[in-house]
Amino acid sequence: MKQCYSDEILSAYLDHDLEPEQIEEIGRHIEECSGCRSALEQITAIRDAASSLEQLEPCEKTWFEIQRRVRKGRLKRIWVWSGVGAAAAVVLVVFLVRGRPVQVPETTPAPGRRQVEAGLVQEYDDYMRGIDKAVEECKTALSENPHNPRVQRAYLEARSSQINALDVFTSGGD
Amino acid sequence: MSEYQQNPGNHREAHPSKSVKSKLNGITDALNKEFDFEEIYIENKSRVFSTAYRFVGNRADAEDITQDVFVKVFKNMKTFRGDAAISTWIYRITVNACFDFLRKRKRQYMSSLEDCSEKSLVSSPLSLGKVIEGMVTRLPEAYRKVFILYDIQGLKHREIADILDITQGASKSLLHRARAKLRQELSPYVRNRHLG
Repeated sequence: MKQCYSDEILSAYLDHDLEPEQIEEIGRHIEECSGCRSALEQITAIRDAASSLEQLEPCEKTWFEIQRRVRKGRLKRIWVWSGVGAAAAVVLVVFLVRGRPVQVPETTPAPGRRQVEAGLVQEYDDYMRGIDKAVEECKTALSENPHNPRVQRAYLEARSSQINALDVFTSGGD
Repeated sequence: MSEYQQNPGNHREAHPSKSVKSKLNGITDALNKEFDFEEIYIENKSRVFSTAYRFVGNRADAEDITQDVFVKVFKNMKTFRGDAAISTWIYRITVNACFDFLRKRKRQYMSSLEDCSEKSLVSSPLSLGKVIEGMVTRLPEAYRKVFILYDIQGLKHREIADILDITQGASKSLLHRARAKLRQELSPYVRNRHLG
């Protein structure tokens, strides 16, 4: 009888990942060799048990958390750029008036005290006005198409954006 | 005073559905992306979560990884070129996220089978599937990736090669080594439970 085969070869045999003549040769060997036959049965049992493991579902909270993170990230991007824009505008105006660059004093918020960056108040207000407008438009659309799922979702999304925006405002945009 | 309040009798004219649609256009552009994203989530959530669960061995961490994966998918949706199937792209992000997560934690994740000895395996009341689920988290990284994607998730070697950026031959070779390693570890259990 030929020398026994390794588990790797037996696994390849199981998946038909070998040349036809090798498959034939191993098949003949397995009929005679109980050791290789048993090894092959065990590898088969492992493969079958693995492939019968069920697909799992994440809990519902996962989707809400993803949405929250996605929106938070988007708001942050808007504010970072609007904050940079506002700061640049202030520096430019002062430069034009005084004729030289201004040293903006560094401020460190006291522990537990929240500060609102200059220029951001207006941006926050504009952003909230935009969302409020979207909510109103959705409400109008809903009054006309109360059963339209797209409009319903648009309304819910707009409301949700409102809540998320407030959430980010109160957390200081972190 | 709104258009409607000024002229309530002309309601349809003041808010015809076309006008409403155009009013909504601004927000629907942004929302459309979210609708697409929601569809992507629904389509792929169980693939991502199951894969993550099999990598890390517990639900809480798999939930965190699932979140990270989909936030990344959302951020990079524009850059997805469609060269491969979206599921392949998402699997790639998932596998990378799993290993980033494990590296950050700097420890191996074990399920309820942590420290299982041959003796405990033989006397374990768990199904072979559950035992494998636990043992997979002990496999070396390269073996684990291919075993989970091929034997558990049912992907083809061609897809795995794309996801892991390896050849199909390498994928096959890693799979056979992974099964061999598992048989070595599980031999007593398999012999006693399944093959008499």
